[in-house]
Amino acid sequence: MALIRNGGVQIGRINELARQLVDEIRSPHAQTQPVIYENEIAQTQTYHVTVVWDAWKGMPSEGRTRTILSAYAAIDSAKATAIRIARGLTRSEAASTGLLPYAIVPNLRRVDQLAQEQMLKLLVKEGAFETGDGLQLRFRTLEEAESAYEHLQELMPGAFWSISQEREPAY
Amino acid sequence: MAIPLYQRSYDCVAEFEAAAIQRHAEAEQLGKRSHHLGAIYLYGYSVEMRVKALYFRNAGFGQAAPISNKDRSDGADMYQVLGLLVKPGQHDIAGWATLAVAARATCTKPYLAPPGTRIVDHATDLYVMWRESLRYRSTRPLGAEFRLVRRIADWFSLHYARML
Repeated sequence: MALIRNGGVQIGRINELARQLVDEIRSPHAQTQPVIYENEIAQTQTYHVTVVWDAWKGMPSEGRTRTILSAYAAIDSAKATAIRIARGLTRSEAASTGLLPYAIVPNLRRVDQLAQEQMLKLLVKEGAFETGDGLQLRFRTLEEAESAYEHLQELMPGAFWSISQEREPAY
Repeated sequence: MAIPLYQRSYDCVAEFEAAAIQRHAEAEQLGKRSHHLGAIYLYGYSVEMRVKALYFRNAGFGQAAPISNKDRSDGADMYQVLGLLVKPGQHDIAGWATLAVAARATCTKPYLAPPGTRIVDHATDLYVMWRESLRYRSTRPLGAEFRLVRRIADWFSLHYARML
């Protein structure tokens, strides 16, 4: 009978992702992922860390948190113990929780099928991902969205793209 | 004339905590009868009540102090002060759990990383699946989804007293 230890696989994955995260924290790359939001709360001298990364897919939150804490502990143990909140989210989860409120969406209804295919390929190449509202490029700030919009206009000029913003929750 | 049912009590920490226990018990009953979607819906609310009660406790509200809509809105607006990236929505279980843990960090008895991060982790795993809009759905959840939601709601129920 086969012996399958899935716990070991998870620990191996945590170690591997933590190693990649250490590299990223030490020398951040300009690539899209992982994106690390490190927020220092001055009055309590604590940190909140959110890491947006599609590599989290399939891993429960507890494993993601362990990965983030383990990466920080490898770099600076004092800082790691001051982390009060450590969250790992995939891009899709980040979008659904309002962390990436700006979107570039393709105006697919205005164009023929050939142009639609071109647009979707271009979006994927630029880092778009599936959301509840279709394929979108998502951003944390308007500046980031505008910069990506200008880049898309250079690659495919015309009225093909729109920037949209999710509204803040109302009470 | 009788006071309308929804006006026979008022929102406060004690009521949120009592409601959490009731919704949890009702979810268990539905789960036993294989009404898994309804059970998930109520399990979600039981956790929502607990993380909101936790936030308002950590923000200094007494057990019986009334919580108004403005208090909820003001609480959500504290997100930047407390170092969160996103303002939690009304039923954003993960957001309110994060807010509760962040508010606790400003108190004399902050959560150390493991208990605090676990509250956020479990609330986040639940909120990946749960939305209040489930009440409009007739979808049949997977058995694994039901078991995960039940496990998370049970965890909050079991450990809630230690979060105070």
